[in-house]
Amino acid sequence: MEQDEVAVRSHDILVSSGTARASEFETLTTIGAAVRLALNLRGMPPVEYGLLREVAVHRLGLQPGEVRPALELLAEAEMVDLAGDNSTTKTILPNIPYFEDLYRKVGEAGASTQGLNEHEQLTLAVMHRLGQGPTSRNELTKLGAEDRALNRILQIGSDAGFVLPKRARGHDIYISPAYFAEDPQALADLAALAGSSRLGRILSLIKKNQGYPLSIIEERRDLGGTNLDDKDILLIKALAGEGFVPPPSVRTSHSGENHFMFGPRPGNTRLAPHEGQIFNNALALAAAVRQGQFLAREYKINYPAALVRALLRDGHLGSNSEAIEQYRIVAQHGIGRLVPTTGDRARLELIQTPDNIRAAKLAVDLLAGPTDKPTPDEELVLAMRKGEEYVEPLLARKSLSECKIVNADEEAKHAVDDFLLRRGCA
Amino acid sequence: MLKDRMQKAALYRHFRAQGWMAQLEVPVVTEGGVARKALPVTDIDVLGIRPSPELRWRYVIGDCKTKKKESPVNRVLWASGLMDAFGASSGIVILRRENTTPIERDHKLFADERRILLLAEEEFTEYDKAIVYPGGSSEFPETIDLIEYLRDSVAEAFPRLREHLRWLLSGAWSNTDHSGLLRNALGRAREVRGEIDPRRDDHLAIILENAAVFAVPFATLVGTIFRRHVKPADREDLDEAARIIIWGGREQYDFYNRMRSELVQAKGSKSQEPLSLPEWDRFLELLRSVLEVPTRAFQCPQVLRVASLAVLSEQRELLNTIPDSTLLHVAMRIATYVARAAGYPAETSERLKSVFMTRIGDIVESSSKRLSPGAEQSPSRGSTAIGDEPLATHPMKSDDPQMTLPTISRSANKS
Repeated sequence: MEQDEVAVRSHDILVSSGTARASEFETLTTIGAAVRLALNLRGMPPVEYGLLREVAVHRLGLQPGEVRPALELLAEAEMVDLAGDNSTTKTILPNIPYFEDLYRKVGEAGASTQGLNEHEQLTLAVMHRLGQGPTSRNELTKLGAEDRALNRILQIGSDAGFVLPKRARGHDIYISPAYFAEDPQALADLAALAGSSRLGRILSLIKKNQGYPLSIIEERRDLGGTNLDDKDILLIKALAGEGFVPPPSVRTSHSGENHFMFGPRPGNTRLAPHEGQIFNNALALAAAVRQGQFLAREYKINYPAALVRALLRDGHLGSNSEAIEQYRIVAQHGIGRLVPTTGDRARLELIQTPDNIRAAKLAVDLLAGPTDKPTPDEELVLAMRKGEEYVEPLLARKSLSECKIVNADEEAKHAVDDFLLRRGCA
Repeated sequence: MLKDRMQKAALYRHFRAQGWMAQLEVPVVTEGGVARKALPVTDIDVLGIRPSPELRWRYVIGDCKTKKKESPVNRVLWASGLMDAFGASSGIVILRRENTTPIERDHKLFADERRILLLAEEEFTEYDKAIVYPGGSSEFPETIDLIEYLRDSVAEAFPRLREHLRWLLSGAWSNTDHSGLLRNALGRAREVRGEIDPRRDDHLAIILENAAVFAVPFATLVGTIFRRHVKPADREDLDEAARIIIWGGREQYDFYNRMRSELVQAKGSKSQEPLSLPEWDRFLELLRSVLEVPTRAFQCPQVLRVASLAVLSEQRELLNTIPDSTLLHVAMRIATYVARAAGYPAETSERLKSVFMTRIGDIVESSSKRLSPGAEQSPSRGSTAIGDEPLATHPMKSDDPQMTLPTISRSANKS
C-alpha cells in the first residue's frame, strides 16, 4: 500500500472510531491523529500547545495522550516546528504544505519512525478493500490473513465503528460507514446478490462520473467511457430503486422526469456531521447542471464544473428559456432563486449563505471529479486563526474526555490475567 | 546642530519608526549602461521603502544636506529628478540653514507640488514628533552604528565577504527591478556559501540581511500574485505565474529556459527540469502560505533587519519590539528558505529558527495567559496595519518596561 493511502486510511479509521481505541493500534493511531491535526493546522499562525491540545481532544476527537506523538510525527515530517523549554513543547509553528502531498509525507514519516504491526497492516488492507464497496467475508479472506487475525480486526472494526457487519441472503457482508454512509442493509443485499466485486466496480464508476442521468446510462450502456453489460445496468437501476435514498430527479416538458445517479453519500471522514443536508443540496444542483449537459432542449452545457464556478463567482447564471424547469429543484432546495427576465426566460441566482456556498463548492467537486481526501473543519480553522477566545465557544468542553477501549482479544485477556496472577510468586 | 551623518541617522530612525524599511547611501546606477563596471551616478542619502495598502512598495527619497548655502529650490529639483530616476513616490529634503533662516513658504509649496517635503533642520524634530507621535523617533532602538559595523568592520574581518556585504547594504537597494533582485539575492547568497559559518553571530546577521534583501522583491511577488489570483488552489497555476513573473515575462522566461537547457545538455546532463529557483518546491510552499497573510510580507524585510541587528549586538530583546507571532513566523520561514536555497551548512536553519522561536513562544504564551482570569495585561499582539503604525512599538507609548529598550550600540572591538 502506498504511503499516502496508509495516512488517509489511518485518518478514516481514527475518525470513524470516535472515542473508541483498540489496544492493537499504535502507529496507525498516531498517523491518523497526525493527519487530523495537519488538515486543521494548514495556514494557521503559531499556536500554544495547550490550546491545540484542547481543540484536538474536544473538537477533533483525539485522546489527550495522542496529541504529542502526533505533533512529533509532524515535526519529523517537517510540517511543524516545536518551540519550548528543554523537552516541554509550548508552541506549535505550523508549516503544513499546500501542494506537496501531505498524506505521503505523514505516511513516510510514520513508516520511518515506527513500522506498522501485523494487525495494523491487516486493518489498512481491510479498509482499502471496503473503500471500494461492501465486501463479503469470502472476499476478505482472499487478503491472505489468518482467520483468527481477520476475525479480530473485524471485531475491532465493529466495536470501534469503522466496520459495519451485515447479514444478507445468508452471507456476511461488511461495509465501512467511512465511505458509505447511507442504506447499508440495501447495499449489503446488493453485494450478496450481485457479488461484491461487481458492486465495487459499479460504485467506483458512479463515483468517478457523478450525476449521470440513468436514462442516458441505460440508452448508451456506457458510463464515463466504460461499457456496461446487462447485469451492470440492472445493478445501477437497483441502486436507484427500493431500499435506497431516491436519486435527485429533474422534470422537464421536453425530456420528462430523469433521475441522476450519484455515489453513496460519503461518511464522516469526508463530511463534517452537520454537512449532510448541504451535501444533498449539492446533489440537487449537480443534477440540474447534468440535466443541461445531457438532456438540454437547446442550451447544452459543455463545461458543467466551470458553470457552477461561474455561479459562485458571479452570484448568478445567464438567463435562458430552459432555466425554470432545469433549476426548479435548485430553488426547491433553497440554494438559489429563479428570477424571470424577459418572456419565458429566467436566470438562476445563488442565495448567498455560507451553507449554499459550501453546497455549490461541493457540487463543483462532484462535477469535476472525485477527491477522496479528508477535509478540514472550516469553522474550527477560522476560529483558531482568530484566537483562543473564538475557539472557546466551539469546544463542547467536558471535564474529562471519554475513551472507550475496545474489548481485548480473549486470549490476550487470559495472558494478562496469568501475568497478574503470577505477581508476588517466588 | 546635526552633522551629515547625524541627519542621516535621524532620518533613518524616522523611517524605521514608521514601520518602513530603510537603507543608507544607496547608489543610483544607470540602467543599461555601457561601462564594464557601472559607476554610481549619485547616491541617495536615506532610501525609505514603505508598504502601501495595495500591497506594493513605495520608495521615498531622503536627502540630507549640511552645506549652509544650499539652495532649497535647487535641492528640491535635484530630489525631484532623483525621484523620477528611481521611480520614487515622494521625497524628503532636510537642509541646514544659515543662521537658522527659515525656508521660504513658496519654496515649500514648490516642493510640495512635487511631492517633496522640504524641512529645515530645526523643523525636523517637531515634524518627527508629530508623525511619530508623541515622542518622535529619537529613542527608536535601532541605530546606524550596527549597520556601519556590519558594512565596515565585519567586511574587514572577512575580506571574501566584503563585496557581498557592500552589495547587501548598498548596491542591492538600487535595483528597482524586483524580479531581477529576487534572483540576484539568491544568486549572491549562493556565491558566498563557502564562506558562511552559521556558528558565528556576525555571519548569521549577514544571512538575515540577505534574507531582508530577498524579502523586498518577494513581497512584490506576493502582492502581484495576490492581486491576480488571490490564493491559487492549483499548484500549476501558482507555479506558472511565479516563474513568469520572476523571469520578467513569458518571452524572457522561455529564452532563459531554452538557454539553460542547451547549456546543461552541452555539459552532459540529461536533466529535463525547467528553469526555476533553487529549492523550488519549498519556494512555492512558502509563497502559497504567505498568500494567506499577504500584508505580512510587506513587513518581513523590517523584521529581518531587526533580527539581524539583534543577533549582531547579542541583544535578542530587540525582537521584543515585534508583537506579532504570525509576522515573526513568516520572517523566519523566509530566512530559512534563503539559507537552504543558498546551500548554507545544514545547521543554519536551526540557528536561524532559534533567533525567532523564543520570541514567538513568548507572544503565544502571553496571549494565552491574557485570556485566563486574573491574568496581567500585556502588550497587544494585534497585527500592524501597513504604513499606519510603527512596527517597533515606541517606548514612550507604554509604561510597560518590556517596551523600553536601551539604545543598542556595538563595541568597536567586537570580533
